[in-house]
Amino acid sequence: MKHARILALVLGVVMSAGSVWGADTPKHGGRLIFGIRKDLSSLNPFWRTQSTDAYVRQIMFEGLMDFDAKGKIVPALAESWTISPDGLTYTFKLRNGVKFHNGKEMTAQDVKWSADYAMNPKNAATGLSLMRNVKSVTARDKHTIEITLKEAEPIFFSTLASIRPFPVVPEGSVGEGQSRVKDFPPGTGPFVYKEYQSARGLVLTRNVNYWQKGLPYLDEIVLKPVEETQVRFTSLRAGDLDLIERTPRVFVPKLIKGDFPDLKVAEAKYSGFRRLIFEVTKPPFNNVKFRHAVRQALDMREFVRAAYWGFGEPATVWAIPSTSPWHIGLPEVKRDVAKAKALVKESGVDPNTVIELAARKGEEEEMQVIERQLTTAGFKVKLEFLTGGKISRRRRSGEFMLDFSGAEPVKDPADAYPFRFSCLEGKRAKRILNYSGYCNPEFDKLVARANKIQDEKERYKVYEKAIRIVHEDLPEIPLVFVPRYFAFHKKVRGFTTDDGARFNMTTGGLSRTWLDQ
Amino acid sequence: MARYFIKRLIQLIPVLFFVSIFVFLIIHLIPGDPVEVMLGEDDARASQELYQAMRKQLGLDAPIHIQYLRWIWHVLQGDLGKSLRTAEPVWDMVMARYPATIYLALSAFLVGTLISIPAGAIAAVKQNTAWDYSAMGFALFGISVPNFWLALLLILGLGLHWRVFPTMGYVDPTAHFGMFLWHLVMPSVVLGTAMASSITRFVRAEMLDQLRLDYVRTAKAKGLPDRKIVSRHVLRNSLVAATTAIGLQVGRLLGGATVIETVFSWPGVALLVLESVYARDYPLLQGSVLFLAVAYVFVNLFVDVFYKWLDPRISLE
Repeated sequence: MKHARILALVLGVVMSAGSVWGADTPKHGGRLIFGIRKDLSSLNPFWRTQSTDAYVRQIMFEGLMDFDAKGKIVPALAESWTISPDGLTYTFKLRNGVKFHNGKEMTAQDVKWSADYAMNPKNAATGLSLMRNVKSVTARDKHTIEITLKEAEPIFFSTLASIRPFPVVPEGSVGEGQSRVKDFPPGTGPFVYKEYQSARGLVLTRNVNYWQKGLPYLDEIVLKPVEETQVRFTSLRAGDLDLIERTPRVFVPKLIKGDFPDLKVAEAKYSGFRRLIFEVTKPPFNNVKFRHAVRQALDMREFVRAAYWGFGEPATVWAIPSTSPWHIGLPEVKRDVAKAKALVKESGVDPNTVIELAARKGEEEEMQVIERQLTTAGFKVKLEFLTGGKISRRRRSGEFMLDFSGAEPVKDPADAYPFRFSCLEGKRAKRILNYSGYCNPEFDKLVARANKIQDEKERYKVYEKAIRIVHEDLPEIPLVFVPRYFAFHKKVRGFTTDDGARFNMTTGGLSRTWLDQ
Repeated sequence: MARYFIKRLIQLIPVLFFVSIFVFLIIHLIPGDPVEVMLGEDDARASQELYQAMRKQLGLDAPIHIQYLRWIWHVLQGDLGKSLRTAEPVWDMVMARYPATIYLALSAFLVGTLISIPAGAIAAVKQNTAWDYSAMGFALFGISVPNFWLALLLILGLGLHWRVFPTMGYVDPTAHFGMFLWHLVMPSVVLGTAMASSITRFVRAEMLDQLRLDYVRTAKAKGLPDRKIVSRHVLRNSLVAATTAIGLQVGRLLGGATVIETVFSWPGVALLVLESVYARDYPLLQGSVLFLAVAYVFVNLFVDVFYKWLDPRISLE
């Protein structure tokens, strides 16, 4: 009897331990239904188009390197690399034995072909502009690729840490000039394209030959476009979907609190960035003091609370605070109505000037908060809600006063600041990204100097000076970082995302997601 | 009848010509550049070179009248063009999505007529009773309530809380007919209810007019049962006028129900048109709207023929 009790106790302990371990041990198999916001625009991995397309492509295609969830560059198809001292030659050693989805082994020739395809203007690939400084791409041997630049460009290295410049596909798998294709070409990613039906979804199956052995866990992913946000969340609750992106913020506090016991949430903390853009070449915002007066009237924290349900944090630069090594701790400007009014007086601008504040349709909540903050500080504001196309047209011709805009935080200052604040961009007849029309030659000199510095720390030091100039001149007011949320059924395990709300990364995301069922 | 058909087909040509010009111009007046939409407006590295390369590749660099002439020339040869985004022929894309719209339209039509005709008839026959008030109350509700609100209500109630039907989605009938029907119920109830609301009032009004006519009094005097008078004579005569309203509704349904297709993620042609508007996919938008215009005209033609069957006295000429 005594032995039986001991045996039962031992068995109980072993079984409990087994169930604890078993619960965290990823299981292979299963089909995940992922509700995405928009249907695919293109099946061409060389075209970025809009964000959903880019995120979906990252499930099937890979580049030479990737960013991990913390923004650090990690090896992907390239396992190691060297950069020549003059910064002109990048040599990548590719992984052995990586197979495309069609079974063909990936070689340096395929990488060269993919890069050349992106650089060919006839193909109108997104990578065309990212690769404009590339002089040549050479396959030194079967697993060594060499990229030679026309001139040193330190940011080029981080540019390659994604599939934006070019995804690696088999040589000849996309025809020249055929940048619009009917089916995805083969990739090397964890999931393989199976079929796509417009408005019904994209079906991907597990890549059994994936170079990261043991991954992925899921047998199949179905990406279903469900445009209506509330329906997407309701469908998740009903069990018709297993995972959704862009969870309505109104439900996030309840999700976090546990009001939906079957659902969990994952946060992409800095996926969105909001700002106000001044048109600085015309009155009233050609007056820097008046611009500062507007900034002084704003309360970013209240803006986050009122417009984004408390989700988000004030921003001062385009960098993600937690992971960007170049993030500068610029002081947050706190709302001070008296100071705002004093600045208006100092500026000499008529205080009865009506500020025309424009935003896209759908951004009414945010704008009402901004309007209230400005009007209670004594400004006169007229709100306009326009279609995206009209806003874009006005910005390109400088026919606006103050615009509310979204963007994405950038991993390197060279990804934003030269394009958005340089004199060259600002003086174009048709503005591309420097919508404000801002120009400060001192800023341009600093940026030009920084972009030639190889050492990252030194480069960031010079960039800091440039960013401080912009902070003082204030052609734009950085407002807030806004998170995005994924919600998923509790049976979905292992799903992670990064600050950019990516669906998959070399080190996480859908490749490591499994179903506990 | 054949002469009538030919005459209507000939009339179609100028109609479609003006529709094609109108559609083409209106679409190009929509603010927004398809290349900018594809590139992503705020791509920090977007360059003029890429922008121009894409415009050239997509044929958007040509003057607008050249773009129209190129397009209409292909249309006359039966080619509606290719999607800017996917390079798929517009015809194929529309044909792939149209069955879903047809299924939805027909099922909504079925729901709508199965509700509206009996309800309208009963309301007329039992005027000023609880039956009448209920039917008119239902009609008022159906007309007043926005269909997307009703859709969301059904999704919450029947989809989420009672788990009777799926909240969204579509299954091809050839893949699994039962699942197809299961997914079809809620969107067709929403659309059918909206249709039934307006038709019910129409049928009731027509029947009330018919019931006052002499032939009804004569039939009653001859001893014909009320049921036969209503079903064989009054209802049939009432439907002649109601057919116009029903035909217009069906034509509208066959053009796709944009809101319902969006809410239920029903992959019909209306959703396709909406997607092409967002993406500024000009060929897809032009081709699909032209296709819908043709479909609408043919539905009206069918309604006219159906008129004749209902009432042989009607001359199609």
